[in-house]
Amino acid sequence: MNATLGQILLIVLVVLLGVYVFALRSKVTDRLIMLVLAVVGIVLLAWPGLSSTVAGFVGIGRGADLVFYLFIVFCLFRFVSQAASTRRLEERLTEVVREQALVNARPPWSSDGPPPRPTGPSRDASRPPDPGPAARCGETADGTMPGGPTP
Amino acid sequence: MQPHGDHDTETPGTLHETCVIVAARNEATVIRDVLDDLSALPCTVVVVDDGSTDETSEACLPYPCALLRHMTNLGQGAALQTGITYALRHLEPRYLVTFDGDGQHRAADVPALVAPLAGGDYDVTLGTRFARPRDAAAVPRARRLVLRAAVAFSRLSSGLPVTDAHNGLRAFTAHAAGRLDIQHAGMAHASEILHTIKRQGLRWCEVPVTVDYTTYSLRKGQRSMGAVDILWDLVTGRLR
Repeated sequence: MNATLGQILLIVLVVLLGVYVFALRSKVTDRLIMLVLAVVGIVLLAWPGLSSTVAGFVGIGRGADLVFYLFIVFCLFRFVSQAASTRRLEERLTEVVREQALVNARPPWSSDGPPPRPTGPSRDASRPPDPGPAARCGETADGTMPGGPTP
Repeated sequence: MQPHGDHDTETPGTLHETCVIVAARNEATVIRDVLDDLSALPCTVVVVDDGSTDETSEACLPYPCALLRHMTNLGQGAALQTGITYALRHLEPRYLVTFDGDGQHRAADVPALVAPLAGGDYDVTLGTRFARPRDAAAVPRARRLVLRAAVAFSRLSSGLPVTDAHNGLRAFTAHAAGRLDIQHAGMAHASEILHTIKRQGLRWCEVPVTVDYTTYSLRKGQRSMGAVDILWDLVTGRLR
């Protein structure tokens, strides 16, 4: 077997990637999957004719096409599982942030309790009216104003 | 022409037992107006500052409202759930109202939302801006098209014949609010609430409300592309 430069280069890369992932991943199943993939990759690189044989057997034109299709499927799978794991992470983040907010909540009966940021409630005294420019034109309780955006 | 519900004077007592949950993110310029508006009601107000980077929380300090602060932005759904959880745990309300923090809702609509619950016939009321021609006409054209699509989608996915979608003004009995477990942190919570209503068999009705479209609320409101995000949230939400 006389390997081409490309084969050697790719095999080295696959091995490096395999070792890296193996060291990185903690879950045994993930490690096993990556190990199997790396081995398959190396085998396919070492015997390029093999993928064409398999491709012909399952009715797909070229070996490279077969590998490419499998790659796409694998990527889609990874994509979906990544989305799911991101969501799990977000759920945990939500729990943590919510709990923190609940613990530090200022109850409604202390109108100048511990402020969230220690800037000091200096403008507490004056009850704030004077709506800014963004306020809608005067109506509150009986609200009979036809709501119109008047900029 | 009656601009507001006929329940306004009927239920002064029940409003004392009502908690209004205001989810606000970067609303420092309008949150005072919202709280001023709400102070006309005898309700307890709970503001959830959803990780604002401006002075939203500080603006709320002078008001006698409960104030909770997410240390990072989680999304409106998460903020509402935080407020609901807080209210149910500490304030023992009989009714809970969700109210947007950007000034698009009117406090004057709240009594009409709570009244059907107080009557004991309903567990949930949903504000709709399409019940009265005048309110519907106030919706900007582009927004109306997007909302039409959203309403169609909501009906299809939830199986409830709603006439409005993503209207932030809703009221729940404490029992119904306790059934809520909003998981979608983002805007998809509106659809999720409908699913909960359907699944739990809650009795619901719609109540006409006015939505004020200012340039501010339009800018702050959901972008039209938001619908795509919501769809995405709902689809990936099934993946666990």
